[in-house]
Formats: sequence, structure tokens, C-alpha cells
Amino acid sequence: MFSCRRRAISLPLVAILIATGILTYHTYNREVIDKKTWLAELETKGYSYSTLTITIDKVLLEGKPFYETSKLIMIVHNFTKCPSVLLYHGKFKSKLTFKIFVKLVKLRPIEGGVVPIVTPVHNYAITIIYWNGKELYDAVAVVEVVPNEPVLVKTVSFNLTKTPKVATESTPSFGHLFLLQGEEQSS
Amino acid sequence: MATFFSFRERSSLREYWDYKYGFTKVAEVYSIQGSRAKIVFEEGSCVKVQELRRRWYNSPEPPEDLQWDDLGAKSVQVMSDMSSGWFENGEHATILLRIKYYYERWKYYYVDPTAGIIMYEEWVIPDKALGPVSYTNGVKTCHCGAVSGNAYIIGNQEGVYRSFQLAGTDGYYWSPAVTVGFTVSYPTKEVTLGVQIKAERHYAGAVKIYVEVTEDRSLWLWGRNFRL
Repeated sequence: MFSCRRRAISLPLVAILIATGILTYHTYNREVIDKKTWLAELETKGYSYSTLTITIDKVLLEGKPFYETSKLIMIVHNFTKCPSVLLYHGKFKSKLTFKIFVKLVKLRPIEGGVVPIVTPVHNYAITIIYWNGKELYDAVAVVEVVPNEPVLVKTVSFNLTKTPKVATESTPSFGHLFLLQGEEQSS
Repeated sequence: MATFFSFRERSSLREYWDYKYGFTKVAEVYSIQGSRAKIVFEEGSCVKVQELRRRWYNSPEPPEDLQWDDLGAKSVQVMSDMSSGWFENGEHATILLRIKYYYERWKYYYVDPTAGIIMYEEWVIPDKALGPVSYTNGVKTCHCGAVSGNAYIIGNQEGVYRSFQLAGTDGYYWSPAVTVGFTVSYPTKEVTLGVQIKAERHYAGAVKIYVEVTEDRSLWLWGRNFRL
């Protein structure tokens, strides 16, 4: 006759344990896998995208901690190519994440792998503005990054200082700024 | 992925932009008796050039005495192979590259256009390094001292030369804005030929220094890279 024995471990529990294991494995290895995929894509297509995360770890107001970040305005410019592109103007964000273009120049072999030589060097400027009801304050941070990894993380800090207030008239000009020798005017 | 690009408000306005070309100091080159040197910028290499900004509020026109703030160096790509020409017998020169600069003027509304707080911001952004290379008589501020450590023999006979990579794909991975350079000397305490450049970066090309012996000598000429 048949013997009816109860299973010590239920099938759903085994399934959950296996699924958790697979998920954990993939989570821990995701970065490695992503880098391999990213490198492969760079090699085959000649270009790819990296993820750039800019974290704002500290905001100071004239050297003192500033907590009213909800009152800040944030402006992000992309100066990688000129004229620049305005990426963002809005409320303050403590973390900015976006995709950036990467073009492969060549893969340089090194011991145990390759180093991608890539272009362009990305350049971003982040401006924050704060109005306290009487005076305007601002701060700026420039982030430059070579996108030679699939995931790039940069941390910046700001120190808000008083924005100069106007008095007299003058004409905006930048012609005097250079060590000029045979300067040319744009056509 | 965050919806970073999709969030854009109409509270910023680029009022004006333009571009200009200007010669900007990027390196110093020095020579010593019995040798000559030149600096070569290969297409695709990058040099570091100053980026500037100024801002104000309460009027479309800036305060008369408003100064530009130095935001540090921006990597600027060299668009074609360029060379400084040779410097020899104690000459030193400041090397200038023709840089394309952009000027932009922005207008920002704090919170929204009805709040009445308007800030203006101006930028001078170096964009590309174009030819030609120029130079002026340099000011002697180089990294001086006899070569030591990981040095290379260049030679002791007229016409012998070597090139050394200051920055580029195959050699060094300098950190941004680090001043890199090269010194040359005979094994005496009289010093130096050198190159000093706030350039760098791994890219397609390189910034190189070529050193050539111009007099037969009993002593070998040595050289080495450095960074400050």
C-alpha cells in the first residue's frame, strides 16, 4: 500500500528560498554583469551610455549648516558641448541621476582586462539659489567626469554666499579675459 | 531612471550667447644648454583651461566692479596635431593655445516670474583647443631640480632625441587639474629643462615633450616625468 509521509519542507518554501538566492546573487553581481554588458556594447556599437549620479551631501549658508533645502532653486547646465544645454531648473534635489553618452575611442589592454578610452569628458554646472526674504544667496559646483565606467558617482557640496546686488550700469563683456595675442572675433 | 530630463520649467532663459577665440597659456617649456625641446599636442588630447562665472541680481546690468569667479579648469579637447617648435640653449617660453570660448548670459526667476526676484548669470566656457600654438617669453616657474628616481637616458650625442608622454592614453592617468611636467638635466646640479602643463587626461591623443641633444658631450642627458 501507499505510505503517506508528510514532507518536512514544503515546496513553496523551497521555491521562495531558491528565488531569494537567485535574486541575491544577481543583486550582488549586477554591477559586474552591467560592466561586462556595457563594455560589450561599447565594443560592438562604438558607443553606450553611463549612469551619472550627482549627490549633494552638504549645503552651507555662509559656512553654516543650511537645512531649508525646500526653499532652494536648482539649475543644472550641461557644458559638455557649447552652447550649453539647460538640463534642469526647479526645486532642490539632493540626488541627480541621468544617462550620459559615451563614445569609445579604443580599448586599452591592461593586466586582467581592458580600460575603455572614451569621449567626451562631460562637464556640468549646478547652481543653487536661495532667497531669505531680504537677500539672494547662491552657490555653484562644477562636475567634470570621464565616463569610463557604467556607473559614475560624484558628490558635491555647496556653500551659499550673498549674490552681488546691482548698482551701476555696465555692458557685459568677456573680451578682456584672455591672454590675447591675435584675438579673433567670432564670425 | 529618474525623470531628470523631462522636468524642465520655463523659469530660465538664455538671453545671449556668443563665442570668441583667444590665445591662452597652457604650458611652460624650458631648455638648457646642449639640448632643445618642443611640446606636441596630439589630436584628441585634452588641456585644462580656466572656466569663469559671475552673477548678480536686481538689474539686467551687472555691478560695475563685479569680478569673474574662477571655477577651476575644464578639460578642452585638442582638435588637431600641434607643435610648439623647438626651444634651445636656455630659452624658456610660455606656450599659448588658441582656444574657442563661449560666452553665455542666463536669466533666472527665483521660484516663478511673478515673485520678482531675478538673478543673472554669465559664463565663459572654454570649448575647444584649435591651432595654432603660440608662445611668449616665459616666466621661470618650472619644477627645478636635477632629475632623479625613475629617470631615462636621452643621450649624449648630437641629434639623439626621445619623446616623453606627459598625458595621454598609453601612459599616465593623472588626476584632473594636476600639473604634470618633465625635467631634463645632465648629472650635475645645474638644472633644468622642463615642461609644466596643467593638462592631461586619457583620451585619443597625448601631450608629449620631445627632447633632442644638440651638442656632443661626455655626460648623458637624463629626463623624467613628474607631477606636482
